[in-house]
Amino acid sequence: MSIVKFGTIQNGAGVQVYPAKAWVSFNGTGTIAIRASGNASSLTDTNIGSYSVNFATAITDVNYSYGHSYSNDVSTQHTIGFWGGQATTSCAVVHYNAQNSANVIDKSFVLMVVHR
Amino acid sequence: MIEPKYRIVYEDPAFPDHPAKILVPSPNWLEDAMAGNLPPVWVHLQLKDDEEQAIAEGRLSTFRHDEEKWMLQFTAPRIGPLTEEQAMEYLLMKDVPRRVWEDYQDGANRTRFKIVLKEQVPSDRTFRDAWRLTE
Repeated sequence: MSIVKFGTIQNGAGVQVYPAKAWVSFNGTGTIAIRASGNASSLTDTNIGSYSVNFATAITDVNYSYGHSYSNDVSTQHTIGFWGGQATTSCAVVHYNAQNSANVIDKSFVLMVVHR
Repeated sequence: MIEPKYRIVYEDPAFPDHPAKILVPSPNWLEDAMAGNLPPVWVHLQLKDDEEQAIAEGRLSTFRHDEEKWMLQFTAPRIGPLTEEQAMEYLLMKDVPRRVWEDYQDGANRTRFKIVLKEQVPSDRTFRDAWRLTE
């Protein structure tokens, strides 16, 4: 396998492309497990519905964006996922029951991607 | 892909009322570790120290890693292949807060972390808020 090093990527029209800095797919229920990841060394289960992804290599600063989606495991009540904080070495998410914000809930599919 | 056998269970002394936290390794990262593709752990520790100082000084929003230190993640000589057990020890220092493991030998008066088999971690999260390390 070879490694390609680059400073800037552009498409055929000369428009700069921004690859993801990190991504992860994990199961946050039962025995927590990462299904697959890029630039993630580990996942910390900090509390019910609350997870922190630790980057394998740090991002240069905290001015990155991360997208987050998750499964709807509760058949009658929806959940809402929130930004849980970010550092150059990790970022966090937390999930609440939409009908009762005092209730947090685990998610079987949590998907996150980081761009900078 | 390698399926990690171990988890790190730890209690953060900065948050004594919080339940125990479970750290789960990434299979992709573990594969890299066992293939010998990691920099020395001190490369990560010095980046974390710099960031924690920025947090303590209230300047995280404007903080940017020193470029030379940041590049060491990619340029420092690799440490060579690790066993899965060695990789977990590396991960403990890299991803678990220093206050959990640093004075473990000298100052701690109770267990703050354990590296356990994944089967030893409760899968029933009914009493998640009550999870504590036992001696």
